[in-house]
Amino acid sequence: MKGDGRPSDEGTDSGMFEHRERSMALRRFRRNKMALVGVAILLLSVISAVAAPVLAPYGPLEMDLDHRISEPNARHPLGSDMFGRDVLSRVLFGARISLVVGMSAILWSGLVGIPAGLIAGYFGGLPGTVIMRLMDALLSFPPLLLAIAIAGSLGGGQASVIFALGFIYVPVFARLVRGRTLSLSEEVFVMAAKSYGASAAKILVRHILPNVVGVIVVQATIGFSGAILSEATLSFLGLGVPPPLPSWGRDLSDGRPFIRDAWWLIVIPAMAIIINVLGINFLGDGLRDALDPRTRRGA
Amino acid sequence: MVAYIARRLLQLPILLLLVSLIVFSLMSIAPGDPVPLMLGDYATKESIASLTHELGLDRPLPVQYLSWLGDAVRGDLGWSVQTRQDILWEIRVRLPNTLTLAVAAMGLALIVGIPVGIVASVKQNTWVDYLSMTFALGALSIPSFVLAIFLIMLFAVYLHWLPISGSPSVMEDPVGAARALILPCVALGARAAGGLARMTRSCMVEVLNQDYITTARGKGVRDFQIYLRHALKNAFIPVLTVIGINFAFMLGGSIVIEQIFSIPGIGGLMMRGVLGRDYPVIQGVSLVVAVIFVAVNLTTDVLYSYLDPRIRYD
Repeated sequence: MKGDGRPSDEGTDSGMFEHRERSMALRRFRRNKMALVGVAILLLSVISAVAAPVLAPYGPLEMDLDHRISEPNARHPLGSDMFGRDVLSRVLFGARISLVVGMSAILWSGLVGIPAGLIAGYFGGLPGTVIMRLMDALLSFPPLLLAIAIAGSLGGGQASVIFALGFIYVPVFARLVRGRTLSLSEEVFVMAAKSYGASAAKILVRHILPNVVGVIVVQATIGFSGAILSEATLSFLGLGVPPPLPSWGRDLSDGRPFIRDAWWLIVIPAMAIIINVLGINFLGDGLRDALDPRTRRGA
Repeated sequence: MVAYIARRLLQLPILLLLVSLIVFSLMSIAPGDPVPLMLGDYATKESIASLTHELGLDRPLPVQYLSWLGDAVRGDLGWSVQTRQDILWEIRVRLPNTLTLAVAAMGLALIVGIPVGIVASVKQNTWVDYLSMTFALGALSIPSFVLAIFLIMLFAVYLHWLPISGSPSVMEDPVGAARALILPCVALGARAAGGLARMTRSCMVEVLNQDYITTARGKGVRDFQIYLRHALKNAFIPVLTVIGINFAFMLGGSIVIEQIFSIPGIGGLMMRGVLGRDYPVIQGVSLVVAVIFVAVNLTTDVLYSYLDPRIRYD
C-alpha cells in the first residue's frame, strides 16, 4: 500500500508525516490487547480452514455408524453426530464455508459499494442522487430479511448466500465512502491536484481512495464478522450450503432435535460461531481505534 | 426542522417506489422460470401454463410491474401459490404476533438496558461499570438464534421452568401466553439491551461532565435528581435513535426467533414462502416489512430532530 493519499510525490515532509502516522496506528493497535486476541482467533480460524484435512481426525462426511451420538471421548474428541460424523472435524471444515462466504460477500460488496460511493461523493449531481437513493432503498429493509428474500429467491446454496449478503453491505460501503469523499473533495491537496489538471479518475484513485482505505478496512472487518454471523443464520434457516457439507449454522440446526441428549451437537457449533464473530469484532474495534481514532465508538 | 421533515416526506414516494422495484425484481432473479419452481415436482405443462397466466407472467416485465404495483397500492398483494390464501390477509392475521414479540422484546431491552447504562455511568470505572459493560458487549455479540437455543437448553430442557416453544392464545390462556413469550423476548431483545446499555452509558458520561451538572451539584441538588432529571433528559436523545434502529432491526431478527419458537408471525410466513418458493408471499412480506421499517426510521429521525434542534440533516 503505497502512500496514504497525501500527495506523496511532492516532497519528503508529507512522506515522513505519513510514515509517522502509520507507525502510530500500528503502535495503537499493538497496545490493544483485545485486538490482538481478535487477530489470534481469526488466525486460528484461517489455519483450521486451510489445514482442516491435516488437523481433522476424520473427513467431514465420514460416517462412523457404530458410534452415533457419542459423547466427547478419545475416539471423537468433541463427540459425534446422528450419522456418527466427527463433530471436531466438521467444526474445523466448517471454518472454510464460514470464512469463504464471509470474505466473498464483503469483497463483492466492496467492489460495487466503494466505486459507487466515490462517484456519488465526487461528482454528486444526478448520478450521485440516483446512486444514493438506490442505496437508501436497499437500506429500507431489515438486513436479515433482505438477505433471506434474495437468497431464498435465488434458491439457496453457497453462491446465493454470498450474493445476498453482499447486498447488505453494498449500501454500507457506498454511504461511508461517499461521506468521506465529500469532505476530502474540499481538502487542499485535492484542490491542488485539480488545479494541476489531474483527471477525475486520477484524483479519485491516487488522492481520495488512499485516504479512505482506513475506514474501508475497519468497515470491511466489522462487515466480515456480520457476514459470518448472517451466513450461520441463513444456514440455520436452511438456506445456506446444502446438507452433507459442514456448516456451523446448519450443524447447529441439525443438532436441535437432540437438544435433550446431546449438548455437544449444539454447544460446539454455537461456540465456533460466537468465538469467531466476537474475535473479528475485537479486531474491528482495534482497527477502528488505530486507523480511525476520530470515530467515536457507537453502541 | 419543518423543512427537514418536508424534505423527508417528499423523498418518501421515490424511496418507496425504489423499494417496490427491489421487491418486484425478487421474482426475476430466480434462476430460470419461477413457475415450475413454485409448483414443485408435480408440475405439468398445463399447470405451468395456467399458473403463468394467472400470475400474469406471460406479459412484458414493465406491464407486470405496473399492475403488481397498482394492486399493491390498493392493498392487493395477490395470493399464495401454496395455500391459495390472500397474502394481505395472511399477513394481517400474523402481524400482531410479530409486533407483540418485537414490542415486548423492545420493552424488555428498555427496562434492562437503560437502568444498566445509568448505573454504569454513575459508577464509572468501578467493577460495577466493568461488569455491566462486559455483559452488554456479550449481549451484543451473541447471535440471537444461538442465544435462543442456549436459553431453551437451560430454562426449558434442564430446568423445566418455561415451555420450549409455541404460543397459546392470549384469550384462552393469558398466563401460558406470557410464559411462552419470555424466552423469545429475551433472545430477541438481548442485543438491543446491550446496545442501549452501552449507548446510555456513553451519553450519560458525556452529559455528567458538563457544566450545568456541576452547577446543579453546587446548588445542592440531590444526586438522584441530577441523574434522572438533569442528565438523563439530555442523554436520552441519542439513545432514542438506538431504540428506533433496534426496533426496526427486530422485524428482521424475529424471522429466526419465530422459527425457533414456532411463533405464527410474519417471519414464519416469510420462511414458508422462501422454502416453498412461493414468490408472491416473499414479495408481499418483504414489501410490508420494508414499509414498516421505513415508517419506524422516519418517525425516529423526525422525533430526533424535534427533540434536539441542533441536529441538522443533509
